[in-house]
Amino acid sequence: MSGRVLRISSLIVPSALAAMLALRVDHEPIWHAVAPVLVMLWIFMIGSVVMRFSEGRSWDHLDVLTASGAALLWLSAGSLVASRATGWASLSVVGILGLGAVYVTVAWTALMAGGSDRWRRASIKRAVIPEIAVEDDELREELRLANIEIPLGMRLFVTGQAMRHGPISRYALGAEHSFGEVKLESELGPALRGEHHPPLLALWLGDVLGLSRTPTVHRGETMFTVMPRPGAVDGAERLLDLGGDDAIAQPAHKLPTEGTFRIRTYVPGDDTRRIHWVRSAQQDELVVRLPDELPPATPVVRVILDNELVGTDTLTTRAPDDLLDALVRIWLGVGRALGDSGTRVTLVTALDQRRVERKLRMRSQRDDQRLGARVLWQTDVPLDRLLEKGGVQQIVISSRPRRVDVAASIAWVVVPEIAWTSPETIVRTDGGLTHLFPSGSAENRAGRRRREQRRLERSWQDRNVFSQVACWADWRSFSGHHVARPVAGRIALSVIP
Amino acid sequence: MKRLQLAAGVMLVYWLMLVGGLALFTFNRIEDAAALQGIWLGLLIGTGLGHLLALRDVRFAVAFLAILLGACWMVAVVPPEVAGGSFAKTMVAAGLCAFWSLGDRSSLAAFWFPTMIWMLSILDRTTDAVMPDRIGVVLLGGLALMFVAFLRVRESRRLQLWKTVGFARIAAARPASVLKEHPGGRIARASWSLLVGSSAFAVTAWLAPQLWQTERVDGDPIAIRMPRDGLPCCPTSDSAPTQRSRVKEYLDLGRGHDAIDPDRAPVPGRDCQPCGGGGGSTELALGGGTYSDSYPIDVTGRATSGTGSVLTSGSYIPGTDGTAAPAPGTWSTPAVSTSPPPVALPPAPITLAPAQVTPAVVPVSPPPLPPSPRAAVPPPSQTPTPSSASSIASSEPALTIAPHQRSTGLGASLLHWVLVFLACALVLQLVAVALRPLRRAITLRHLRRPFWSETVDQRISNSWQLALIGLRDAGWRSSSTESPREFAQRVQVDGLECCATILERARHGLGVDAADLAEMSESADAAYRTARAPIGKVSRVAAAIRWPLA
Repeated sequence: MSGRVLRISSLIVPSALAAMLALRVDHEPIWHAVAPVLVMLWIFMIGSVVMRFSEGRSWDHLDVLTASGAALLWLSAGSLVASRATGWASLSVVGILGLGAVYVTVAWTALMAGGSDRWRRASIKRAVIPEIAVEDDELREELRLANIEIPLGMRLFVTGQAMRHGPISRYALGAEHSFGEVKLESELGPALRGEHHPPLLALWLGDVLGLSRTPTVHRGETMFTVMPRPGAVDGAERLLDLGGDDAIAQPAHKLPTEGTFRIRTYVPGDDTRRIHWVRSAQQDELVVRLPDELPPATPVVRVILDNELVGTDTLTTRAPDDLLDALVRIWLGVGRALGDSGTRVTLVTALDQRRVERKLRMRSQRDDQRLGARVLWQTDVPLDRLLEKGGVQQIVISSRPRRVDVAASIAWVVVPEIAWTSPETIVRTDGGLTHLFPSGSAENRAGRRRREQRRLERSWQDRNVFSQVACWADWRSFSGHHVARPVAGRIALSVIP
Repeated sequence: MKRLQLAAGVMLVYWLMLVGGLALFTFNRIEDAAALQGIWLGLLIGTGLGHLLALRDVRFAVAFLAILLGACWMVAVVPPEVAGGSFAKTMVAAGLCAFWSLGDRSSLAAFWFPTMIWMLSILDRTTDAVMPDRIGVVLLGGLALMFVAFLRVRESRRLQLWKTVGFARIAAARPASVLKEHPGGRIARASWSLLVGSSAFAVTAWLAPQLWQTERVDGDPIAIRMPRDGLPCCPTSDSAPTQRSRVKEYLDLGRGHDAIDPDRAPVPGRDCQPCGGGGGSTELALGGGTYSDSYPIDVTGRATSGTGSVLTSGSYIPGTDGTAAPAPGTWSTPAVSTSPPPVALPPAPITLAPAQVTPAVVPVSPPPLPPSPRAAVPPPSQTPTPSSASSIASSEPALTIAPHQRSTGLGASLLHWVLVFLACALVLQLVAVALRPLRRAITLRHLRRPFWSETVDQRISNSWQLALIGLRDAGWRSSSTESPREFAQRVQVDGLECCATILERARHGLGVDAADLAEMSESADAAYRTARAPIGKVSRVAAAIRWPLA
């Protein structure tokens, strides 16, 4: 029996038990005084709940009891039965108190806190600050709630998760903030790379005694971007040595109209198509442009990010995201390290089902970081389509080096999964003498513990699957290429023996 | 430490309920205070142990074992004269309920033990119709309020746990910043709390007694009348069997109500003959007599006191400690109880002490007749002979079922003074609230026109405070991280922007002259009036009694 069914049935079954008990007793005052009042309260409660159900036509409107409320109802009925058996007056008192408290709070919640009008009037603004952050920056979530009607005796509960693997934010507001304006903030901790479109916040109302609640509504759309933080790479120049491109002449095949940087005065015999008419007009003499050449010391390198991987969307482990973050960090880090040494770098990856190329410009690095923020695992563009067939030096940043059908001028930088992902949470044990959480926490409930245990076990299984997929590499085939490892906060490239 | 902080509210309320309830019961039974040592000891040790185990996050099965073994060990360690018979029962129940008080979904189970403790006092105040008297009704209603308060503090703790504890990491929340609040909301909340509290009070006080059940045991026989010559006048025995009843409870401490068993009463004409009035009248006044301490006897012959009263024709002559006193001018005889002396701890109802004379008792009408030989009074030392074996209670009543008696002496006095103290505290609070509008009027007058000479900067600050008070009346609140100009831009109230500009100039040490001061004062007044213009009457009343003002 699911929790919802149990909670909905708790509105009827314990009360029916109490009613049967009242019918069987032979003491007249009970039937004449207690039972009618309790029955009236019960009818009032059921009527108000059914009224809300008929408005919304959703089972959520019947699921008004919290777990504590349902437990209170069952315990109250049990108390009345026990009082009948033992005759202890205190049991009858707590039984009546429990039943009455739940009936009244549920009816109050259904009447005063039901309906969707309050949510239409409410203003809920959500922002994650800063809206554009860099990986590992401290993020803060800010909510501004205005014009929300919180009935007396109720609380507003708000919860949400801004980042997929980030913390959960939880807020609660009392009725004193009804129709007011409140700013709520929470620390989200280090930013995780990506363009985040977090799921909407979940909002509901619950009574101050914790017995009843309203259906959940979802509000509060927002987005924010966390750009990758390029890592400092040691030994990036060895990637060029490996290619040997400094020894290879790079003839520039330019059209007559190309070339901008070198000009000289026209001499007879020059191709008239090379005349730079603007400059000629300025200088009042004919000026021609000369074709550009690529000096061997400033080679062109394509740094390719291999983000092709199948099935990561369904995995519950955070290892794929950790690995992709590391790949992007190394991708940008290698590109910058090469750019700093005078190499003209082109960043290449697959994004939005197409190949994206971008020349690395040292003065506009934020654009490169924004590109890195948008990178996701994908299956639409295979690595072969990212590679250039010509003789351009290419460096592939990949966690899965594999044979590709292109020329040999490829340098692989292997990013081993085991070195760049954090271990999974250890599966908790439930066999101890103490609870995992403080007494009174809902997380100590057996059902929740089982669910969490299943989730952790599935996460471990997914992690195993992912490791099998990502770790597989024929290392001997890539001897002489490089492997990237984290060393003291930097990225160290070492040669695969 | 953090767990203790989170649980402090629940533990405080729980301990107050327990200690308050048992203290009240002890005051009511102050004459038997020594007998309650075991209850006190079991309550304190059990509750402390239960809370300790809950704070250490121990599982229920382990806690149950620990409490059970602890109770066994304590029974072996504590001397029996200190522990008494209820120590172990109390400790186990107190320990389990205290453990549940910090548990999840166990609020009702946890509340049972405090309820049971309070019920001891409430049941002591029931009439023989199982209805509590006025103070009992008040206590019962108070119990309902405590239930609501207990649920509320438990939910507050659960809320704090929900905001900080989870399988996934929970983001650390900062305190909420209130930018605007609904004016008059406090009055509405206070009214709601009052409504809920009084509803719970009334419903519980009305309904709960209907569910109480009585248990009946044979009580002590009470002295009625001596036999006469010939066919005896009714009754034929000098004592009548009584039946004692009380409302059942977990701890065997409740007092009972005595009643003459009508099934075993002598039948006139068969067992006895009705005799004429005067001194020879021996009619058993099953329906007409009353206890002289104002406890009525109902038509079934039920009496409500077992303190050894003597039933005469038309009246009881009360005695003390099981003895009866001869009334001057009547043939009533001092009677001696035939029941064995009660061994039990609280109260010792009937003893075999010699008769004591209570002089001012029943005036007899018509005037007394000379004593008849038939009505000769046997010597007090003589033990009355029952007419039949069945007329004497054959079974000994439960040791702890002492007859009901009104609280007298120190206990009642203490309770009275506690109630007086609470009433005084309430009146003081009401007076303090009533004086707040006056306090506000004086403060506003000072902010507008100071009662004494103040510096220009101070007067600028006063004017700003005046504007803030008006804004607060309308629900606007400024935060510490917000500059005056930002605040003015946010609320968009006439005059406030000017006030903020002058205030910031004064704060930054720029010259402020008399014209600025006048403008500030005028703008602050305008802001005060503009902000308060849209608020209703209820909000104005709430603003009048609000403190602090801004």
